[in-house]
Amino acid sequence: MKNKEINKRLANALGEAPIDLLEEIKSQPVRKMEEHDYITRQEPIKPRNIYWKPFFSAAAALGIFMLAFLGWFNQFRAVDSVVYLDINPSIEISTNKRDDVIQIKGLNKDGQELVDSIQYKGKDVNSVTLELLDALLEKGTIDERHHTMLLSVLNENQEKSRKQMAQLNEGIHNYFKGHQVKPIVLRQSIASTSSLEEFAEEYNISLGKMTFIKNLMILNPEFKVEELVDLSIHELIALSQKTGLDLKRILDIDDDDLRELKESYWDDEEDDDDDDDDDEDDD
Amino acid sequence: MVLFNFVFALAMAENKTGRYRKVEIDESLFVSIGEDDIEAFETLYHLTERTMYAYILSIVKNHDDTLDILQDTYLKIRSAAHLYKPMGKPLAWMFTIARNLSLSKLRLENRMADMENLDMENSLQFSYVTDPEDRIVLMAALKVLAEDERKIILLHAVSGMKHREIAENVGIPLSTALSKYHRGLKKLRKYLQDKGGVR
Repeated sequence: MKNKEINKRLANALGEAPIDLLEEIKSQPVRKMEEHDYITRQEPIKPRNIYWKPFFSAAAALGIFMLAFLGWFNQFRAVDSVVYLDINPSIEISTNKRDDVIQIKGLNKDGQELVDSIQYKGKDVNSVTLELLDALLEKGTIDERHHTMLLSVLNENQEKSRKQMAQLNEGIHNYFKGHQVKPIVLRQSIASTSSLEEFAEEYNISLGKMTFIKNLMILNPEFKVEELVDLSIHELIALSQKTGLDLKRILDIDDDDLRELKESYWDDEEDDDDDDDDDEDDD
Repeated sequence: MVLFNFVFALAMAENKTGRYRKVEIDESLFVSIGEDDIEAFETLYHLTERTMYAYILSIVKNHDDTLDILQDTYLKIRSAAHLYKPMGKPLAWMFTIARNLSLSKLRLENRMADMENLDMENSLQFSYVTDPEDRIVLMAALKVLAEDERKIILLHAVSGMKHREIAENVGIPLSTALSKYHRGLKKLRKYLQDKGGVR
């Protein structure tokens, strides 16, 4: 029997399986979970452990050791994580496994101007991020009204990604302690796909911002990508609040930050209303 | 510009024989299901029922258990859809739930060892398969293949998923998926040939 026939017969057999569970499932009451349990949690897909057969020869073992060594060496020098910081400037920070910065890029004009002044060699990602905040404050990009930033981390290891995000989030909040600016840090762990990369490149925005826009479009299918890509993070958040989207579904946000975000959004709304009133007075 | 569904959709192409339906899982379905949209749930169910059946059967190797776990999987999806975060691999999440439920059931019933020795050919549980040769091939797959080989072969056969898609969603490297697929088919061919009952 040929492979094709085996596949066909399996497809036939499985195609005949009487399943018909839909009505039963629909009729059952469902209690919404408050958080993921061990059954539903969204874990990164891990490759299985490789079972090395015991009869490998010494030569093969040595070969494997050499390959492992070379692999380790390459990984040590290769990009491990990419951190995207979006405010309006979009910045991409590449780090190695030790979290040392090995490259920093501005992804738009504002971002390029900003990174020119940053000395990153030999520094870790936390220090470089704080230097970026210095520069952003100095330029007036971050102030009491504009203090929302999107922090995205791309790393195949979700655990590492979460850890790195938590450290950066803590570092940013500590930096602003005692400062008049209360930062709002929106966080997301991202994955890269060729389509997302193409869109990000086409619109000159970061992969982090493109992912955020994609997820906003999932929450509200009426959004159009062309309408969103030119908006700053502050404007995207304002839009999402105005349309009643639950950002916690697509982003990690500290409760304090969420409260600040909502207050900040309402302040903006009131200011807009005041402006409208002024216009009416002028009339 | 088209709302870029392809970014977060899994497309399973129709195969040459035209047996497979073109299936796309849009992650926004989970958002709707989380908001108790029953139509969205029906759409997801119809898109994935057969693929999920094949996946679970490859683990538990028993039709009735597969149906129980399949039902629990969809109920879990309804309970947790509002917690789902789009990560580009909706089917992988469904597989994770199905696998965790399957392993939990197997552990609970402590039947892992027994099932390995189960003589599938004496079982009547696949009597729903009308063509005897189709039934023999399915039972052979359940009997002689290792779990991963079975998973890859059944998913490829029933849904037309490409090996790259199977590898991504099951969480194994592509090279492993390909080698297990070919090794599994070779085993099946040899078994069926030795058995002599099937050409």
